[in-house]
Amino acid sequence: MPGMVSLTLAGFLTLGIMSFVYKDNPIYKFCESIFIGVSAGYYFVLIFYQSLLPQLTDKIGLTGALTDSALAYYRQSGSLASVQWFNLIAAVLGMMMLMRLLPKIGWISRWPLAFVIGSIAGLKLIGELQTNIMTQIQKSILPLWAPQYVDGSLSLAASIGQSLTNIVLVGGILTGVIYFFFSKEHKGVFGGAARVGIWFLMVTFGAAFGLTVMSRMSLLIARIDFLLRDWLHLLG
Amino acid sequence: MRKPLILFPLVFLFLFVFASAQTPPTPVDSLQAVDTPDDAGGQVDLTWKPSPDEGRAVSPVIGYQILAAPAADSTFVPIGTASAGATSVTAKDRLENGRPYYFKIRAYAMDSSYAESEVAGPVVPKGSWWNTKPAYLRIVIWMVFVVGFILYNIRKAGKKELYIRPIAGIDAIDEGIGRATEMGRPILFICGLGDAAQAATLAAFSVLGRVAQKTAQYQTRLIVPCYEPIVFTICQDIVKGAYLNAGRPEAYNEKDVFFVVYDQFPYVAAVNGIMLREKPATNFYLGQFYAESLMLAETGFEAGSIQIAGTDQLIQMSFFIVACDFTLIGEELFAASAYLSKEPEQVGSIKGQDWGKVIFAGLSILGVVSVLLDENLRVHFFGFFRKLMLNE
Amino acid sequence: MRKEIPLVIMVACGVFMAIQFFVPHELPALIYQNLNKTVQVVGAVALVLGIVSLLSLHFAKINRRQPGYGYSYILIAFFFMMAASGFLPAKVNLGSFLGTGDRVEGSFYLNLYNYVLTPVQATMFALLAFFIASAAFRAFRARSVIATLLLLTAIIVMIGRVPIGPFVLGDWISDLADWIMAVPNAAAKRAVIVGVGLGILSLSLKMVLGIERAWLGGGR
Repeated sequence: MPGMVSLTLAGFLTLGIMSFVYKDNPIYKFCESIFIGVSAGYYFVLIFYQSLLPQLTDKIGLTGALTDSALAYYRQSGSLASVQWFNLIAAVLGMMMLMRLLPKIGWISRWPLAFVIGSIAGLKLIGELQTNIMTQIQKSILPLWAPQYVDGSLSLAASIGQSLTNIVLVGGILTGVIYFFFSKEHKGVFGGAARVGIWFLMVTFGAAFGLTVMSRMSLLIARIDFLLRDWLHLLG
Repeated sequence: MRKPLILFPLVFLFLFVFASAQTPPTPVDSLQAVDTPDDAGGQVDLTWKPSPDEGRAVSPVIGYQILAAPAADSTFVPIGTASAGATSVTAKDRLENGRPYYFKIRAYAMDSSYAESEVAGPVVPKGSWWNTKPAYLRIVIWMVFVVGFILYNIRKAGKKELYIRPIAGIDAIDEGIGRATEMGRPILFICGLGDAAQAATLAAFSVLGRVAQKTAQYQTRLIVPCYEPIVFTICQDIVKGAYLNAGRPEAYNEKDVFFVVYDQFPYVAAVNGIMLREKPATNFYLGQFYAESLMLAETGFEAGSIQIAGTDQLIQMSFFIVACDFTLIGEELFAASAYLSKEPEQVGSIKGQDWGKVIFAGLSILGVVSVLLDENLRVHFFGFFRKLMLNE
Repeated sequence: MRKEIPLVIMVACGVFMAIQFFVPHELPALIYQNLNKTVQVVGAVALVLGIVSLLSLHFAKINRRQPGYGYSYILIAFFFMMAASGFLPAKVNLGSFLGTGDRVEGSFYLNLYNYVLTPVQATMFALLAFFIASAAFRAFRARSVIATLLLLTAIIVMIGRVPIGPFVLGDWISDLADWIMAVPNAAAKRAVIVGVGLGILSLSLKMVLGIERAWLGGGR
């Protein structure tokens, strides 16, 4: 595409999508439709070539070179290689999924879905325990009195500082966990601990929010720079 | 012309001295070969006592070669190496499961002379059916505890009423549905941009099921625009099934649970458009979210919707807390479906989760106290627990 | 039977996947590796279903002359242009303005990607700043103690992390921001992670045992 036309198209779409900040309008709707149409087409072609074609056809040996090798293996051994079996299963499950388009037997698409969901749930069952719970206990075992040495002698100020830090860390973890207690009423000492826990949580959310705000601002500046410099040549 | 003549005998002498010094090193001793435990097979662990000539002054041993053969008297072929100083190696090349192998170690000296050890074997490499490493055993112990608590509470659940504290975000779900019904406006439910492999998405599925059941009863329109293709098909099944269970299959509109596009920002553009045009009374954002969380929540606010969000990602939680009316923080998202269902089994599982937290807090406190006593009073008492439950 | 068989498949797959974690043998490893492939295939087919859903929704809009149906024409037209050009061979030349077929450099498919998708995506991402600003503005009027705490932390972290903050206020502000990040922030993060971990554990357990079956279309 000639440079000026393509840049104008990009610039028009950029402004069209931005116009939504003001309010919903025909130009936004127009740009939105183009945007969705192009994206849907893009991913349709991409996934066809990247996952469907290589996973389904090539590997179960429906295409050229691999057909020969699969057949040769079959003639030699009288059976399919394990990989080919798995590909066959994948293909069958894929076909079952496609049955959804037929109202009468659409229910069969639940088989591949059950396969996917069950496997995921099984994997999560073990993975979470290992990564999220066991390691967190290890991290929360900290010395509440942490003597610090400067030039070989005990520094009281540094020791108190580090000890306080550790106490806050351990306290934050424990009160935070108490906040997530569901089966006990949050009142009395327990309720107090839960309230401290939510304070800790809010500090964490504030920190996350603050950090992200800073990074997003720089993105906006970069985009305005594109409009003014690359498209309209207003900046040198 | 004289110089070369002088050099000649010198070179000869040099070669003579070196050739006579090429003494083979002492071979390695006590070579042992065992099938590698806790592996997928095809591996053999070899251990030996190193050659005493590793440190000799002239032409020391510089490395070992691992040789293997299918029979003690057949030709041994090299299958790996080990550097000087090593006393063990895991041989993994060219070994097949279920066949016997014999092994030899060849110690090489600097002057490329070598000596071979005695033959070890036969060893038949095979895969193990259970991992006995302590790290795995520890996970089994944890599983038994935590899963045991959850299962125990699920079983016990039917017998007596369990207390569950109120959670504002979850109570708001019912209110949100009621609000939409009163106003005669639709509900928008977004399962996030994660795929079905993400736990937050799975949690969103269960909440969608409860919400759909209620919208079916109240005859409120439920719009579910989907991002991920597999998630889309599951959402269709969930909503359709919920309408069927509620006895109103005719009220289910297939066109209201639809796939939009598998691309973050086009998806946001489309959903924002839906919010502004359909003006939903209540928006649900449950599942995995990325940068789009705020764009959705802010647009929803502009459109005047009550918004309820829930995710397990920290940064997005912070955005949702700022922009939404109610946010399910972390575990609350996973508890939501159990809360809404009020089925004893589901409520029992929440109680089980709490027991998990008790173990967590208990072990943490024990650990902290033990570190305190250990470092200051030299009292050790936590070592056993630490080994059993935590250490690598 | 329509619900039982999927349930059996799910429980079997779930139990297998949980147990294979402890089995070093190559057979479960092989099955595990191939699971990913199967999920990919099922996902690719699901995308076809999704596209069918998208198109049928917009065709229905056009048929019923719903408000804004004109935009559905645009969406459908661009989808088919994009898909068709992607499947065309590279030999086909659509003219110097549009480009060639296939997905090669200079093709219509890549041109649309480069001049429509990429800039609009960048725009949307940049728009986030507006949304953040408006959300922050709303939050600034927060009246509860908790919300104030959130905002206060956000402000400290923001000011502490830009060079001008310490320059105007002194180094203590960046020290405080660093301490917040390293201590209370880290503590609460762990509490969230533990809670989420237990939640996921319990949810997957209920799924593997067939107690949670919302995905199958509702309760028992």
